[in-house]
Amino acid sequence: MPAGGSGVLNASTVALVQAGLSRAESGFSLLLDLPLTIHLELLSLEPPTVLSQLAGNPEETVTGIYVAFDGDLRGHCLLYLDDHNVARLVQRLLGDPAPPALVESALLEAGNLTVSGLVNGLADSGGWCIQVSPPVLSRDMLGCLINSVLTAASLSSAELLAVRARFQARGEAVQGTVLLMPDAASLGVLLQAGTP
Amino acid sequence: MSAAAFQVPGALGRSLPVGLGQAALGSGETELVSFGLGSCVGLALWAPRLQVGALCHIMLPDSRGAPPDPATPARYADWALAWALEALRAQGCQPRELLAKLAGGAQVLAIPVALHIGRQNAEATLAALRSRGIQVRGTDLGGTVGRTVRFNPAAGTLAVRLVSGEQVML
Repeated sequence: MPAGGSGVLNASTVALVQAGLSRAESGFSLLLDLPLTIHLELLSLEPPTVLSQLAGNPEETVTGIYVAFDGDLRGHCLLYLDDHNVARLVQRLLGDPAPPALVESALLEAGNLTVSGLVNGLADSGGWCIQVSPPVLSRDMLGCLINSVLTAASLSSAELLAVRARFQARGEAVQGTVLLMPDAASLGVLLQAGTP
Repeated sequence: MSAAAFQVPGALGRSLPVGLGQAALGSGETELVSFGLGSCVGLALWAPRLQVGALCHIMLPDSRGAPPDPATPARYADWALAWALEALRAQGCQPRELLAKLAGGAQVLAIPVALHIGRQNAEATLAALRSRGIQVRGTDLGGTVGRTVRFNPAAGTLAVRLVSGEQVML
């Protein structure tokens, strides 16, 4: 797991984020009755322009679920899955064939559980109070979704802490990636909390 | 501008990606590409006489007088246009001979904090072009889906591809 960027991330901060992901992992498994693992892939403090290059193939079509979070920590969270994994997730949630009218709401609900679980896991690990916005769903190019979130985030921060994690349900059944981006003030809170 | 060149099958001889907040100058067989424009605007400026052009990947509408950051010359619309005009002037191009094409400025995610950034980016870029007297020859702006733009500086074409695979040529 590379922890890159400007190098201000100490081991305690990384441990704090990992603890948050572990709490989210346990919460999911209980809530969904589905063994779920979350792997931290990247923890990096970078300008938005650099982060946009770390996400993957910018022209890949993905479905993204976005929430903003506010409170003791503020920022943005985006979960995205490629079409193959969206189909697998929908099949798991709704059966096969899935009623088209239910697909969007099922994805929103699953996405909301995932991103809210991650944010709340982080909040629990640090003892913070965080509110999460209603989820927004979009199917588009990966670069387009990432850049839209990074642009919004860049309004308040010159550098962003990006937490990129991949989750898997039942081994390889469903895979997705989540980006968690606290704003500059929240980064200060995280770093302070991570100071031994 | 930190972009590196790489090959794209079926494209011109060479493609140069122009990332978030970046800008690049190109000529000949070098295609300039901005992937996944959402609220951002891709601004192509072309000098037909010299067959040289610039592509800017604009993130935000207005610097409000902040000094340009060389690492992100297209972070704001006003920075981007100033950068492109200077780069093209260094190639021997005058602003009055330039033609502009632009695409992007969509609202892909209904994020409250960024609800109008796409529209504001488009309006700010068009206003900046008008204030410099630069002709706008083609636009594909707004909407709710993202775009990838490929600028051919030899021909002055701006190919716009949507997530559906549909392509518009400006």
